[in-house]
Amino acid sequence: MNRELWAYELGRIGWPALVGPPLALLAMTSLGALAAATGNAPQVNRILSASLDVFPLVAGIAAANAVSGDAAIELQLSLPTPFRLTVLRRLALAVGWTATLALAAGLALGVTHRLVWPTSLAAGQLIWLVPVAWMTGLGAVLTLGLRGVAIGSGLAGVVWVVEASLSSFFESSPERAGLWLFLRFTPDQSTAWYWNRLELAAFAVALVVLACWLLGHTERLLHHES
Amino acid sequence: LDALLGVWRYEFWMQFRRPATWIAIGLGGLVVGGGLLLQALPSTPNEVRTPPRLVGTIAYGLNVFLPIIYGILLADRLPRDRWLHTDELLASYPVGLGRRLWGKYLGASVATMIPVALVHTALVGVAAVYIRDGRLIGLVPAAFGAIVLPGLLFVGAFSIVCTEVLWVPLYSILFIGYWFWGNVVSPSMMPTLSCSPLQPMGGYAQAAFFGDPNGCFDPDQHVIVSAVQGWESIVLLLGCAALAMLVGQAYMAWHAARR
Repeated sequence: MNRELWAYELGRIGWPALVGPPLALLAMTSLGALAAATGNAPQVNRILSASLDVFPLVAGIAAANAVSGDAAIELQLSLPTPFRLTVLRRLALAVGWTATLALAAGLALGVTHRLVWPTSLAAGQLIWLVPVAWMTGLGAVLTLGLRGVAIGSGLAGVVWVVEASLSSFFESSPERAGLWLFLRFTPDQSTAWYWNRLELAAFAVALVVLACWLLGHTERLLHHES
Repeated sequence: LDALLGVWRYEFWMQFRRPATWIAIGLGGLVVGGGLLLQALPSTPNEVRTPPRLVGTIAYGLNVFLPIIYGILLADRLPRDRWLHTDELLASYPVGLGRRLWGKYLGASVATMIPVALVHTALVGVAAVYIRDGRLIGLVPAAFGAIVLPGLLFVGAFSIVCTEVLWVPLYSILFIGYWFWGNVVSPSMMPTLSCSPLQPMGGYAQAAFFGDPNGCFDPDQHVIVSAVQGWESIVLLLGCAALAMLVGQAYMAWHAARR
């Protein structure tokens, strides 16, 4: 592991890339505080718990941008370090930071008993971990497959809104529920929830593998839209 | 005015010929179009939906998703000038900052609206064939103009000017988060601008002019939202768009003067 390379990539992406997750968390916490201040106390825990649903969006957009090529792509492709490795390093930095904050938020919600879906502390981390991995893979595949960061970000955003808003559509059949990022844990249907997490995790791995495969195609990388 | 039209024309064709504009909105329309039609079309032969209500429902449903892609497609227009290092060259031209900014906004916005309008027309066309009522197509311009257009101009203005100060991916995250919170989230779940006249999805215009309570208004009331309230919402959205552009223009002029 080359520490200098990691430090360089961190400096290259800069603070704007790192400010997204805390800002999203701050927005949800502010909404919770607003609900409490306006006498809607029952909403507070629901809003704070829903903050875990925002991290997959952040990860999807971060991934779509992390894989969107390089200003000196021809130079990158001529270096002994494979460009795929460089992009995976960027992806790990962007999504790793999001996952770290999601873990902190998940643990804080679990420890303070504010999480409205009653899972164990460890299983509760699957609420955000699997969707973050899934959206990371999706954002990367869309950007690489369709050769445009605007297409990747836009479609990843639409998929997140579809997942977050169409609960009745996904709840209407077990097949659809398997694709739902925001299926909620209930004690009487815990097996279905764990299966959902497992299916989505397998899907996420497949998406990341596909993204890695796409990153190996030099001619595709050279023709990204600016 | 000639200069404004010139910038408009250039920005329009640049965005119109951009493959991402067509691929992203076309795929977005495909992803949500089928489900939207299933929801909008009558599910039983006895269920009656008036043509205005049906066209309004399709426009409103499309407005949940496509403005996200629309906003992101416009968000990189201003930073692109910086990435390509053409901003200083453009600043040396006799055409002023205001005309360049407004020309970019209007040209890129109108070009990106065209595929959105085509997706809307195609979905209404499918609905017209399904219920065998050609009047639906005639209602498309009204539904697009009242429900979709104000929201797109609102989103377009913020997408163009906010990226002058915000990094594009950060803007994308904040914009999608705002869009979901300010349009889709129910007021019963958290404090939100959803179901208010400032909802850019056009809930007020849809309820006022197309008679669909869209989950925000009580369907048992005889008059859900008055036409005046519908117009108020449209004017408010257009006013916010103009205000965002003017503030953005003032900031850019201030920034340019400091160089």
